[in-house]
Parts: sequence; structure tokens; C-alpha cells
Amino acid sequence: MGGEGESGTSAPAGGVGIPASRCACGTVTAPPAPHCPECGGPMTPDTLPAVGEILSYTILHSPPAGFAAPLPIALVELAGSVKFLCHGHGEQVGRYRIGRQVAIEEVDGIYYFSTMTLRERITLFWRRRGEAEEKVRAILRSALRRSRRS
Amino acid sequence: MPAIYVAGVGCTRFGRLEAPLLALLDEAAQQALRDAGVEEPDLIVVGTMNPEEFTGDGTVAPLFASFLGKAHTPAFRVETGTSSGACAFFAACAAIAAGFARTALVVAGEKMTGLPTPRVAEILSRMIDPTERRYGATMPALAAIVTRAYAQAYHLDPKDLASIPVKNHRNGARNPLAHFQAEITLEDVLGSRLIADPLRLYEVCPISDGAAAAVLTAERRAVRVAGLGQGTDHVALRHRRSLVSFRATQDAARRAYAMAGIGPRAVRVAEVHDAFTPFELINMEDLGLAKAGKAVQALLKGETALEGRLPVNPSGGLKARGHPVGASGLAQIVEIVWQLRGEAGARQVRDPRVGLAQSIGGMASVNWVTILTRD
Repeated sequence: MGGEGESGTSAPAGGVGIPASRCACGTVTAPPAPHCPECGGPMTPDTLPAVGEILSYTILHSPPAGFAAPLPIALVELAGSVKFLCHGHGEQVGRYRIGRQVAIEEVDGIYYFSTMTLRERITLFWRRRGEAEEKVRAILRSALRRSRRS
Repeated sequence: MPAIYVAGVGCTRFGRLEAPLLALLDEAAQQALRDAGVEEPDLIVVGTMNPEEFTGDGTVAPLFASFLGKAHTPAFRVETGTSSGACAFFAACAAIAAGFARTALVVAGEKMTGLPTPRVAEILSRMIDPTERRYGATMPALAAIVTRAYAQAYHLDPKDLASIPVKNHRNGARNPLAHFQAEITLEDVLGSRLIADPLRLYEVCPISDGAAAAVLTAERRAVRVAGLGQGTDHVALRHRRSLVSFRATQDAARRAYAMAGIGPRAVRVAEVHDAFTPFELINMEDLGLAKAGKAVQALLKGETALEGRLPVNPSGGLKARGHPVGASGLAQIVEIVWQLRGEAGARQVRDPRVGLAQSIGGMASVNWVTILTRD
């Protein structure tokens, strides 16, 4: 994860990124596509932070076979202007707003979004800090090993 | 393009009908041929969306030609989803312009009510990008996502949007061919059940049967095909640049206006694709009939009503006339011809000379604009 990122986008928050593809013309798509839908050019793999914004949404009351009503579906835009459909959590319906920040998760090729409260944002921030602490600890451990060897 | 004229038109009643597809196509075609005074067209073009699944009929063009007693006449079928009827009209014009035919019969229809509603919805959802379909996205779901974005961008409330089906049902009540011929109120619309929030039942077109037909000719007649245009966009909603306008309509309109040598100000009557009624406002803006975000003002001021400055959907639109998917694009053109010839009865617009029809295929991925004039 993150190793294929060639775009200089920031490291994914929360530890899990969204696989995407990027074209030289600036178009980014998720899920990844072999050809750019705008110019037809080749695309290279990329990973985007799993945080986005609700562009619009619906609560579908007559969903097709295999889906339970009510079914929240949103069009979400990630930083980097990738858009895709996402499923929401039924119990969060009251929190949906256009422009609202959401966290994205992928399960079995389907994207899910959840709205973030202040507490959840702080949790996310701490998780990022945790990552940083982990890195610092790793650096210290390796430094210790090196000093023992010498 | 060399001059092409509409010599005759026909249309069946729309609604839940007993007749099979071929009989509906036949009824519309016979009416158009009689109206045109033509017995032997050089070409038959059929527009249908999915007869293979709706009724189990394949190779409908020769099947219909044979049914009509014209199995010797060149015939083919075209398909662009819910705009197939407009595509058939274009294909026939192209054939005449290229010199392949001098007189063409265009006929378009669909028979949908023989299947249960969930099955019809499933067939219609084939027009959605496969990746987006995996999320349970249906046509109403995507239309609802567009509607919410549009309403938020231009500060429209549910009552503003509910005025559209009220107007179109009022027109449908004056159209003896319409699926729904009863007026409705704002309260009816706002009290109807949610299909895909914020879209309610009365903001979504019905499932209908029906057919429409036109005879086109290179010989001079009263109504001329002045402009034709088509536009394509990504099927996937996630690849669209804008959620509050349809590029496929804008491209089709630009091409049609350029061919006709006129601008939107010359248009005196319009039939636009209101399968989901908020789209009527988006379409007006994409066609240049209103500035972005301003179509609602024209609606609320009554400018788009039958007696207004620019009547929109005098037939009742897809909402009230009904939406047999393959037929609608051509039925809109038939209505414009009747309006230009002053034959629209109780819903006649005052003396129009330029009329426009706009048809949407899928979630606005393959759209058509047709401009007709009375010389």
C-alpha cells in the first residue's frame, strides 16, 4: 500500500488507501482502469487517501433484487477529484449532507462511506500520530541493533 | 443537409395496452402513411430499446416490415436506449440526405407492461455503468443524485420541483393519447411516496406501452427538418464533469442549432425529456431556453405553461403522456409536428413556427435534439 503512489498525494489517513489509476492528462479513476476515460491514454496505478466529500446522495426506497431498503447511495469525491458511488450506513442517514466529509472503506470491491463526528476525526488523527510513533520506534530499534553489531 | 420534410405522422394511445408490439407499431405506421398520402416508402427505420427482453421479439425491423406487408422494403432497426425513437428519426433523415431513399417510414415503440415492474426496472438498469450497477443503482437512484445536486446548487425547494408534474399533468389532461389524463395538485406530488429520496412517485414517469411514426420525404411539405444534433457522454455518472447539467444535451443542441441556423430564442414550443420531472429544468438550461439555474423562474411564472411565452411539454411530457421507452423520442417529434400544423386540439400552442424536441438516452449518455420549422 502506498508504494505504488507516484503522484505525491499525501499518505492515506487511517492506514488504508483507495486503489486508483492516473493518466498524464490529469484524470484519475477508481476503481483503476486500463485506459483513461477522458483521452484514452495509458494509466498508471495510484493510491488515494480514503477520505472524501459527499457530492450528492439518495436513499433508495425501491432497490433492485439483492438489496435491502432503504439503501443509501452517495456519489463521493476524493481529494484528487476521483468520484465514485458508495454505499452508506442506514443509521447515519440523518447526518448526510452535500459537502460533508466522509471516511471511505473498501470491502470486497464495494466502497462504503461513513460520516465523521468530531470524536471520530480525533480518533483518525491519533491513529495517524500512532503511525508516526510506530515509525519513530522502528527507527530507534534499528539504530539499537546497528550499535550492538558494531 | 438537403431539405427533408415530415410528410405525415401517427401515434397510438399511450398507457397499459392490450395490443402486442407489432400491432402498436402497425397502428402508428398506418396512420402516418395515410397522413402523408404515401403507400410505398423506400425505407423503413424502426426504433426500439429492448424488444428482445420486454416481449421476446428479435430482428424487429424485418418482422415489422413483413407484418406491414412490406417485406420487400429495405428495413433496419436502431437503438440508443430511451432515446431510440429520436435516433430512428435521425437515421431516416441521414438515409434520405445520402440519397439512399426519397421517402422513409420511421416507426418507434415499446411494449413494457407485460412484465412485472421489478423486471422492467432491471431491464432499464442495463443502461447504467456496470460498476455503478453493482451498488444497486437504478435509473431513479441516479436521477435522484442529480436532482439533489441540482436543487442544492440553485436553492430549489421540493415545492418548486413539484410544480413540474402539476403543469405536465395539466397538459396531459388535454391530450386524448396520454397515459394519464387527470390533473394533479402540489399536495398530490408532495404527499406521494418516496421512490429515491428526494424523488417521489409523481416525479417519475410511468411504465407504458405505445408507438409513434413519421413519414419523411425529400419532396416539399409544410414541416421541414431544420436541425438535427446528437451528443454522447460517459455512461458512468462518476466520470461526468457536472452533476447539474448534461453535456450530451448541450452538444446535441449546439449541433442542431448550427444546422438550423437559428438560436434558442427562435424556439416557440419544446418537448423535452422529463422521465424524472426535475430534468425538465436541466434540459431547458442545456438547450439554452433558460440561463443556468433560471429555468425554475420561467416555470413558476407560467412561461412554460400552454398559454406561456415558451410552452414546454404541451403533450404532457413523458410524465403524463407516458414513456414507452423506444417510442418517446419520436412521439415528441410527432407532437411538435401537430403543434406546427395547428392540429394539437385542446393543447394547441398559439401559432408556433419553430419547435424543438430533446430526447435522453440512458442517464443522459446519448441525447438527441431535433428542430422542426413550418416554412
